[in-house]
Amino acid sequence: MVFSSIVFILYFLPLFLLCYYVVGKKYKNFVILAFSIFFYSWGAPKFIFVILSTTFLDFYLVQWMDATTDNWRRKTYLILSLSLNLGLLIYFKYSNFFIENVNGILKLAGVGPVHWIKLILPIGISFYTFETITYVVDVYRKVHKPLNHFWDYQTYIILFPKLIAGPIIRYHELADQISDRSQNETDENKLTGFYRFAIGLGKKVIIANHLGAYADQVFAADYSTLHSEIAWAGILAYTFQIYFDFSGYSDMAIGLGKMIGFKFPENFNNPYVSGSITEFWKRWHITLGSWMRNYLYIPLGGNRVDSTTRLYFNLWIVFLVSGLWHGASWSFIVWGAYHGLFLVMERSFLNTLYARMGKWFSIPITFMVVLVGWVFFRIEHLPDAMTFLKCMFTFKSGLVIHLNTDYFFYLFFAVLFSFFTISKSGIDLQDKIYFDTYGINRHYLMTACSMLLMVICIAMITSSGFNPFIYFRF
Amino acid sequence: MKNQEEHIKKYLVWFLLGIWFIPWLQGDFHFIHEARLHGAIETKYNPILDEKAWIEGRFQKYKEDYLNSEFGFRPYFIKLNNQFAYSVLGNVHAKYIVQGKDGYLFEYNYIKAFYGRDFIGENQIDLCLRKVKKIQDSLAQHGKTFLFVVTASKGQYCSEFFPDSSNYAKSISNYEVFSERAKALGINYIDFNSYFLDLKKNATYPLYSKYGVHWTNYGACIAADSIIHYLEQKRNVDMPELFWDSIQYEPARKDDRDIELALNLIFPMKTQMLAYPKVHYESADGKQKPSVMVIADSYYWSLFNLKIFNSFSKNQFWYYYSKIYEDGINGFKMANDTRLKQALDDFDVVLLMGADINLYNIGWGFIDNAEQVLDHNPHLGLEFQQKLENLKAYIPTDSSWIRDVRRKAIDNGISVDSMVTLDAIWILEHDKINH
Repeated sequence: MVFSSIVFILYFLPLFLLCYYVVGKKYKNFVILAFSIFFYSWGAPKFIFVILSTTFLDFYLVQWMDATTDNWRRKTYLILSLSLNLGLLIYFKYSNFFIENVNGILKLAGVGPVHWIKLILPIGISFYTFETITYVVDVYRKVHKPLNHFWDYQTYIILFPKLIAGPIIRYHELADQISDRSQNETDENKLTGFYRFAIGLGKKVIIANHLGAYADQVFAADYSTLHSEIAWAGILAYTFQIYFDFSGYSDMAIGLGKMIGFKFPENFNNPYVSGSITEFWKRWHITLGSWMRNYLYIPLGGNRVDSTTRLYFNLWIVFLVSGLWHGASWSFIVWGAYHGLFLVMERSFLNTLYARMGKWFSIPITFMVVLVGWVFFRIEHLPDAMTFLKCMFTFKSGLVIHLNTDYFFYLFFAVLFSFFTISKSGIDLQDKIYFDTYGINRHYLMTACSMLLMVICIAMITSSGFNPFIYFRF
Repeated sequence: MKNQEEHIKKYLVWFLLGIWFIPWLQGDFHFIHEARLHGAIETKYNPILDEKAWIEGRFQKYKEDYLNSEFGFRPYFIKLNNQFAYSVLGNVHAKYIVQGKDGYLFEYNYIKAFYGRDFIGENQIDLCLRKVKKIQDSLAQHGKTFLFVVTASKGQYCSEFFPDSSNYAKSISNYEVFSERAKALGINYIDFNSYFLDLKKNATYPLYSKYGVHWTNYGACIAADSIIHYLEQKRNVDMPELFWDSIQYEPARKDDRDIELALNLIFPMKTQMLAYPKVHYESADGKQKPSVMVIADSYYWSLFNLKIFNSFSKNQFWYYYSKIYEDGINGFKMANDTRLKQALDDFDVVLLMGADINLYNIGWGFIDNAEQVLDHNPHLGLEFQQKLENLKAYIPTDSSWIRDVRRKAIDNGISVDSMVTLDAIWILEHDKINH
């Protein structure tokens, strides 16, 4: 079930909120759990059993790990738990990729292929696997005590607002809220959560879907015959589509969480106004970056390494893994390596150059770097991605896909909302909407605006039908 | 003050939650009467929950489709979206409809047909027309007249209003080859396309409307008149003619803005003034009325509604060679081999009519079947009939579907049985269900 579907907006969500608000405190987690299981099994009925059984096993491994004081045993339980979680992720997400590559090599060697039934990826596995890892690692590091009841752990993992596309919430950030969030369950939060949900829905339905429709047309074309202008128009549409799609989803998740008393971490902070790739990764998918830093980069040695070579190596590893996390294909690996390359270059000399140029130069340059990177992200087949890039940069004429008013209309708003925080007044406006405490008059205004936004979104959704989120496949 | 604000917030929360339930409740209980949407809308059916359907995800998919089409006030949401797209962005939101220059609306198929993008090849057209000629000759041996009519098409008539986005390279079209070969083979043939294009320069009133699919009422009157005259000449008889009493010049009526209605906008488009002749038919005294069987697409409806059958002793309209309508009889019968054989025996004239968009499949099975019937090989249309009967038997077993059928039967003022048949035909024609 996707957030931007009629079944979610008009049926599931109001019913869930009504049940959640009317039941006593004792039963609130039960309501969340029941609705979350239903939510997940609606979209992935077969995989609900996978998630329930593995979390059951994982919960007890962590309980046993916490109960023992023997370091060797603790480590064994940690390795077992990590193997279980990563094993599942590798099996479901990377087996197909691995076998395809093995078969490619076998073919070159003149040997017959390994026969294999292609696996279907369970929805959200990349997200919840990372959360299960934070659970075992946080408990291992004694950052937080484990949860006492299995169903509490299940609630943490399967909590539907963030289950299938994040934000990736580290265990210690949410642990206390599982057992008590009465302080956050205020009418103020319910209202501001609703506004946030409406804004996120608007980002997804109004901007991302419309630009995505154009991007789909361009990326379905034969790149070798495409007009360069159209290739640029297509990748520009995709650049904004992916941002408004994913950040819209995060806004909805954060808003939903707020409506039921959870405080989820922010996942985006105007990434396209970044003056460097280093800054971009502090603003884009913040919770993934934070996860990578805490659970991969720091264990690798982080910044505290002896040589610059080792530091750069660590950075590359993080970005290669990050690329691979997004998808099992060479183009995602190239995408990660490409970002890693810029990060290393920034550490060595680019940052100094950017600082001299000032933000009016560094922001457009960074935006272009990111935009080119999205080519690898969008086109999974590497040779095709190279053909597309060639088409972009050879400035040739060819097949034209008509750019209608829609494109420019939605692109205008995408650019406006992506870059308005480049100025101080833009940041102030954003803070007023997202983070300030509201007076009652502003509540009236925001309630009316949010309702209008919801009506427009419902009108667009029901007119266009089903529209899945891009990030579901990760 | 602080306390009061907290109360207001609480009320706002519950107000929002209450509002949120309204579409669901309205969808289930229909408290308020809602305007219906225009155009061909696929009805979604409420799936039955079973374990297998759930595990395979089929139930969820169909349920989502169903809920998406059934929630309360959906028509208003759709109209809001369409109005916004039309007024702000200049887009139209209806399947296969494109907006051309000066507000002209086209079904995309007409543009395709104009540019020859649905061309089926000269050999196939030749083969088809040779069969038609054979049918014409066979009928002529029994004193019957065959007539092939290509209607004027909006794509041919209004091509200067095509949108820029549809500016394809023009290649040879089905219409051009059909026209040339039909004349060459000596088929009785009326080409309304070229006739209307000739009239276009000096026509007093529009023969095509901006927002309609078919020729205007005025254009239909010209066509009806021409067909009657052609038959008179071909059969050497004096038929009751169509007389124009007067012409009313008024805003386009429903039939002449059917595409506009299918766009489901909140506000109507800019009115176009069109001519509506007031007609009557000459008395049949001393006249001869042939019986006429017509196999045609929707263009014939405009002639049928003009009561062209007043010039005929009997008129059967085989709509897409599937449903048979007859003057003076409510409802319809289904086409089948027995009825075709009977009709070919009974009628004096067989008229095959279609627009250029349908030439790729002209006759819709009639040509092959008629050829076989005339060759005494009546083995026709059985598969379609079988599928239809199966589907008709299935519909009453689906509670949601039959409820919808009952509602539509009331709306259309026809029996539930007829509506079941109509629904089943629609489904089979659109191949929506794979039984």
